[in-house]
Amino acid sequence: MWVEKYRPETVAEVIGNEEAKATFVNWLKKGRKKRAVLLYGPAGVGKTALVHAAAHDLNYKVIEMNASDTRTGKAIMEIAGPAASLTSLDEFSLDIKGSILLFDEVDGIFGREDRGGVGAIVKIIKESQTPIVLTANNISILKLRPITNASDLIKFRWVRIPLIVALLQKICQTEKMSSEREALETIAQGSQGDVRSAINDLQTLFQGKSVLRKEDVQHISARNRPLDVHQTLKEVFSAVSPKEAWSILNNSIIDYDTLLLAIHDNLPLRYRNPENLATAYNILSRADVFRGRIGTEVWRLLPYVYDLLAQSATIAPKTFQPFKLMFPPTKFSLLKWTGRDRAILESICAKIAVKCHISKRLANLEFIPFLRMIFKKESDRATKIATWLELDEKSLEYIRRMA
Amino acid sequence: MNKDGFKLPYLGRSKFIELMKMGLEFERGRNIFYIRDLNRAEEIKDSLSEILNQEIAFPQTCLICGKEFLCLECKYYETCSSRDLPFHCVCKKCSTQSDLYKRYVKKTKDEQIRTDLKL
Repeated sequence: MWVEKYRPETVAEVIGNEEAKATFVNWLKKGRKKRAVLLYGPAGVGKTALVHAAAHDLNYKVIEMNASDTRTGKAIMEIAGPAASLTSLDEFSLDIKGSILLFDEVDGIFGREDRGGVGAIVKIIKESQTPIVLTANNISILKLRPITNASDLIKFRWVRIPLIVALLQKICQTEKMSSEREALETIAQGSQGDVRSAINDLQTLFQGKSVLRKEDVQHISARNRPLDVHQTLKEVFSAVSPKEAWSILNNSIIDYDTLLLAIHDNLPLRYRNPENLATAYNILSRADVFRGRIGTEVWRLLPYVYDLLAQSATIAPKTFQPFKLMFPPTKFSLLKWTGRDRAILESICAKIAVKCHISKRLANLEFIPFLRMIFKKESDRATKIATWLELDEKSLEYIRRMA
Repeated sequence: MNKDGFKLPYLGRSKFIELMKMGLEFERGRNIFYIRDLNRAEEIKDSLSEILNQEIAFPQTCLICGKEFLCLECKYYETCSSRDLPFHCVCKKCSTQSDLYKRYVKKTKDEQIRTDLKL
């Protein structure tokens, strides 16, 4: 595979992301604020390649755990735990400065097969003596929050097209194959900044040929690259037609429920004209109705949700002006702020449900409002009820506050 | 807008604090703002566009010749996935050179040496 053959050996050979490269090398050499660094950005832009190249240049040994390994808490502690805390014998026998512990694609750690993985990584970061490098495509996943909090962050972006063309040219020269510049430009543009896919395309197109012409690459189309939160919202609100907005939403990594909430929150910032805003909210409400009808079964209605979301974001394309996007949705923040109170309410409802042989939902709907009134107006009776329900001090304080 | 430092009109206390939190820095002596946290450069750019009520663009520095130019001048402008940010690219003239990759690697090595990042 040419991707492996032309993997950069030194930092200077890694193309693009100059600021990120310099920041990472600096971090490795001296400027470590935290024990770990998280390199994040789209796939194929050189995050892992940079780690290996920097390790080569600075005489580090890379101990890697990637997505193909089992990454449960136990497996991580068994492999990475000793590597993080003990000094390798190589450091004495060879001219090696130390080890770098590399956790590749940490956003892929999820599910039953990777249980406890994130917790174990955070533990290793806190206790480690060696530099820890993590890579991820998407850091907006809530589950990764403990890792992002414990790490320095370095963002990678898509690589610029002239640099990809230059690399493809160099590969052609080394392979002693000739190519028309336009052909290489088409491949680079089709890759949309993903170096790995550009090299793969080049290798595929050269199969059975020694000359690559413009006509040979005509069928290459632009890749549907996944869009992160910021890109999705920015591009969907600046789209000139519902069709364009629809394709952006389809390529987004955000799920439809979060998209609905995010568009809901950003509409007042997008539309200053009240009429446009009302129309947009009306369309969005219909998307919400369809989402409700889908429930957990009727997935054939999902395209309608996307259609309506796209329409609501493109009511008046010509009026678009840049604005500061609001994300995460306010509903998420609200749920976070009220988490403690909701847990107390649920425990009260559970106690009522057991005593009165009803469901927790019914307890919340039909008993809690009366409890609040009783606690407000009849303190004697409130005390008796509290004793009967065996409510603790936290629950009592909550009901009094709500009353 | 100059990426090394730019001036802004009076923003008011809350906007100023918001921009500082976002990753902008204010240098009192020269009275200029600059981007401290490059990870959030896109958000900062959007906020500045909103404040100034116009689309803003940061110039690119050519990795080969060091010349500054705007993304708008580039022939890949329409298809580029990261236009405007970050701040380095290759200018129109340099991008046509046949040994661009070699020059790029050499320049990058020189830059590393220059900025005390000698590897």
